[in-house]
Amino acid sequence: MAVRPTHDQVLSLAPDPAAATAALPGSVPGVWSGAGCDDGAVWGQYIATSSEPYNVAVDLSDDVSGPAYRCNCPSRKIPCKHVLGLLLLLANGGVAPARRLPFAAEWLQRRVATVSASVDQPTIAEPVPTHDGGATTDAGSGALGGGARSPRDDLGVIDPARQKRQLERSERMRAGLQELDRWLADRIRVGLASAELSDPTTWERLAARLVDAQCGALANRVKRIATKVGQHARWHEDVLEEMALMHALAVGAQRTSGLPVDLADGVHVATGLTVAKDDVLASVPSTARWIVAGESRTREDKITVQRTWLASGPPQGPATWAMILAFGAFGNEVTTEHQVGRAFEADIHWYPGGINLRALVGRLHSEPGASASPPPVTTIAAAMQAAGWALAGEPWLERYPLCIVATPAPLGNGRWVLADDTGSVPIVSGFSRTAEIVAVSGGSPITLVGEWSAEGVLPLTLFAAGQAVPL
Amino acid sequence: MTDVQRAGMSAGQSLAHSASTEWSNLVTTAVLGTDRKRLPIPPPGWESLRPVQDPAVELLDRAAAVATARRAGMQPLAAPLRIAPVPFDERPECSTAAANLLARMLGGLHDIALPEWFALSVIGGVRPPAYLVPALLLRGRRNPAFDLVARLAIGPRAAWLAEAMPELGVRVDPQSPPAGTDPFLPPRPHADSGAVVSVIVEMFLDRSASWAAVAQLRLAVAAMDPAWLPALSLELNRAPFHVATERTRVELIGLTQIRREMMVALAPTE
Repeated sequence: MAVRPTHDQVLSLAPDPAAATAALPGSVPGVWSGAGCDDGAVWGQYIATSSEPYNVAVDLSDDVSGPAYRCNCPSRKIPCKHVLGLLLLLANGGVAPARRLPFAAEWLQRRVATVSASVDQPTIAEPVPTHDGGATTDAGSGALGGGARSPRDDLGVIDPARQKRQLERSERMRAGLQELDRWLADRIRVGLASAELSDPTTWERLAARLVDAQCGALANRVKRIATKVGQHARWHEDVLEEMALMHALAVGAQRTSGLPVDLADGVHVATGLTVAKDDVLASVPSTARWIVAGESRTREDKITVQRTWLASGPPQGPATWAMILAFGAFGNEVTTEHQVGRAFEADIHWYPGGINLRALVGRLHSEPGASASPPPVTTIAAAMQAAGWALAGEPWLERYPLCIVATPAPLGNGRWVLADDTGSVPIVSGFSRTAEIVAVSGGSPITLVGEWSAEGVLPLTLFAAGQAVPL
Repeated sequence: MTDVQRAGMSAGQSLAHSASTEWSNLVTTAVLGTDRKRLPIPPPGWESLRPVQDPAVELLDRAAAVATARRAGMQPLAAPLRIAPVPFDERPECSTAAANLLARMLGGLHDIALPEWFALSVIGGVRPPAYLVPALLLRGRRNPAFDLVARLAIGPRAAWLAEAMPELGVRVDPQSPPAGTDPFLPPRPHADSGAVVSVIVEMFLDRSASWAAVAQLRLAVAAMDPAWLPALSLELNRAPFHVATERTRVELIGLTQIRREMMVALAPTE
């Protein structure tokens, strides 16, 4: 080893006195697995408290800007108590020279590449600090490293500030996802029958931590799962299904480099990584005549989410669907930009993902006017098959649009289904406007646009007598 | 059906059956917890794709695979018995404009003009749009006089819907209004609507058309001969602004406007 820091030097790195105090229990060999060091680095796996060890590594070779740290714990402190604990252990002579653990070797290798790149690239002011410097080169290739989006401006020059922000966010999200996955596994260990699952604060705390980790989309999903607890006799199945899909997302988000590019982008979007509108609008558009088929709104905390479904295609389907999302803050409602029942010719730009669904409207080629015909229709079986393919592309998809010609039929107990010759699909429970659908149908088939989900169809628009009736 | 199709269907059914078994095992284990119940060995085809030491993580891995397969492979249910279609009604539905006016009044906007809408629809030989039938029937539950008139306008679809959807809580046949109840008809027209216009204008000039007088003024406008509505509209728009009368003025302009729109939207067509 070239340099071994002293006890005081390590403590001087602590971001605050509390972190220094918290680091002391981590400075004993018993809480570490695979701890080792060499001339330029020290590493180890912290195994004391969590179900999965934290991978900790410190690069001591940078004499100019000081050591760089890596730890996959959810703490926002830099360096965290685990890093300080490992350095204290090193200072106490408790770490023996060893071969680098794979995660440490990989990270340090990436750091070397980063430093080389920074020498070759004069526009980078300084190496990106610090908690996980290795994530610098993850951008565009690795786990939550910003997906396909690299922090470059239009001239292809790396913007260090943007890159730094992106990496910090990636790191927070990665930590949040790891914590989410640990939380899910812990719940499965103790069982879904555990009383704490029925306590809303259990879910709220997790959602809050995901918000902190900038995984807003997952936080909202957690809140929706919380509402399923105790909803009916077989709620455990619904909750397990949702937890399993969240687990798949959390695992996938940490391994996006091993996924197909489209799927990796889908994972990024589903976990909450935002895509700049300009980037979407720069993609190759799909130009067609689009009918505004339906609109749905959901309330998530203090945000109203509005989905506007556009459809194009031949009258007898299958339709190409595009979902335009809009958000409204509490007290500042979303405005309807595209009125249901109108049609226009336009460029649609797709967001990256496993399937083409979320989109932005680009250039309009014609003024919106009343549509003379409903969106392309399919049978119920074909619509469910289309939804199935979409789910195969993005298993965490919660809803998929359909346009069918079907007749409402009673199931009993106030529940209704929509039926055609290929079968039936239930109308979601709690839908309050079934009577309007039944009245318009008069026992005959009607054209209806809705959102399919695992619970059934949420009807959105009726097309009758050449008129679109939003529900 | 060919042998290949038969074999494919058999394999599909077998996979669906094993998915059901696997899901049931996973749910049971998840409810009790992997600390208390050992995770059963998966049926062939549903093994975890990666080696995992932690049974809880393995359960989540396997559950994600089965949950995705279950959702993506969801099939339509068998169709239940359908209801008999509504008896034929030769009257067409009213125009979109008339339907929109009815919807606005059912929403509470100038609903004093509702009896006139029904009267004009009967004269015009049109019926309300089907999507408003539930709202009309539900409103009629607490107003038998309205119910009688609304069902007359709706036609056979009213009884049909009440029978098809008992959960609506609407009677199949209309209930008779209690004795002494006023019929749901437009107010009797004034003998001299021109004079009524003059009185209304005077009230705005001397600022007595406050919100306290709005109920009387609404009734006066609702009972006015339609021929005088353009004149009233003009006078109300010319009336001087005053904070005490402005709310009433806006209300009466709206009522006048909706009556004028009804005359056009529900005018009988040759």
